[in-house]
Amino acid sequence: MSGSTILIVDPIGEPRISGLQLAPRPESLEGLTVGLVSNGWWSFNVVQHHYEELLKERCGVGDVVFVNVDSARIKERGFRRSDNPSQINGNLDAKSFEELASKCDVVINGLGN
Amino acid sequence: MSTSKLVEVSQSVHSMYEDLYERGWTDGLPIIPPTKELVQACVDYVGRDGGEIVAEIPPAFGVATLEKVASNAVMAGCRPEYMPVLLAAIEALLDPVFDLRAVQVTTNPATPFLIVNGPIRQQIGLNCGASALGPGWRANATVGRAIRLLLLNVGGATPGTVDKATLGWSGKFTMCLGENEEVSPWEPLHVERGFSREASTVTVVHASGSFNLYAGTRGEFDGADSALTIIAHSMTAMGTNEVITSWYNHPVLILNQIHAGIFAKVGLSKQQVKHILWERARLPMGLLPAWLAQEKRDCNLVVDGMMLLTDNPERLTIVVAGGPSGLHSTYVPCMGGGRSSVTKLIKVPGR
Repeated sequence: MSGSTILIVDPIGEPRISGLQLAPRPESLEGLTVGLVSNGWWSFNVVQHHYEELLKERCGVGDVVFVNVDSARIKERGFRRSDNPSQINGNLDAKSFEELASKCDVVINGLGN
Repeated sequence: MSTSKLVEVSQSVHSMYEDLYERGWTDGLPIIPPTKELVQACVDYVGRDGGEIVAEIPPAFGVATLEKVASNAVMAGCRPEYMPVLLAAIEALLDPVFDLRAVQVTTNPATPFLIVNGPIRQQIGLNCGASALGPGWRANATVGRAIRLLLLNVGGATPGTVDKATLGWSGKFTMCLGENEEVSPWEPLHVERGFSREASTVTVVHASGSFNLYAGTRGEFDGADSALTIIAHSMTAMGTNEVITSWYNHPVLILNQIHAGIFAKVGLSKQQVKHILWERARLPMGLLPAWLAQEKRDCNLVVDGMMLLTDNPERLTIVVAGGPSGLHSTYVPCMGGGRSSVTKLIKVPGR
């Protein structure tokens, strides 16, 4: 430490798990199953089927699976937001997470609002 | 035991500020350098090991050791004796019911609002009276700021990238007050929530903003009634999350001591005030957009053609704070969505 400097305690908290890698990205969505995770906001239930159509038309996606974090249930086609008036923007539970992992090749997260 | 690395920075106040700002370690304002000595003083006050893990703060899940909490506290300008408030606030923020992850990343301007109860208010000089939410009070300013710095530096809620707040608001720099228990005619918040009056607690709330309610009375004969009407109807602002979302909202009302006194003088308990406000804070269903009206029906929030603010008057939190003059109370609309405020005990070392 030189005369014109001081030492301070680093205020940054690093996560316990570091160095996480992104999952490998497929070169094409052709024939793949895509999961769409909704955070439960209104706009997603309006646009979800447009996403499905666009993914199939433009990208050749085989199937689309919708997941709603509200009810943490997988429904193949849509959901009602009032199914579970508990908490919006909630966390996906482990069971739904595993179902997504087993059914989907690609998952898109954070839609809506 | 120190576990954090030490970083060499310029001794010049201005150069250090520029350096730390460029690193993204500040809230944009100048900070106090967290030297080893100052940080250790905060750790020593708590009397635990500096390497102890206090929390992992979402969304980055950075590890907040006691030393990291102390470092951010020093940067914010805290004194060592503020540390127990910070530790209890972190515990409250990490309660799943609070849902900090969502608060950290949402487009909503929500920020933790800290309400402190009990004797620690006097012990650390926390303002509960005039201008308690304004500038000029070190404990109020720096306790709230330390929490913000922790949310940034440990939680990773970088504004604009991780923190998606559309606009944010100045309460995100700091928002902390003490309940003015000594002038309140009612039991304080922490007693209402099951703690002893001698206990010190902190309650964290998802504040999306605050707006002033000038609920004048213009005469004694109906003072309480008119003030209750003005306050109740102010709480039905349609763009607040309390109205827009329908899932068990928990708004907060900060009543000044005059309003609280007027209500108590006509014999109203805090619970009765909540009930009257709940009865009056309603909107005609015909005013609501069709989709919102449908949602209220889906959620059973309609009575006699009127929309209810919440399903239960007890979801409204009332605290008494502020100075002795003026008829200004404050409404704090919250993020809602099923999230609730959380109260935790402040553990003061040696007590």
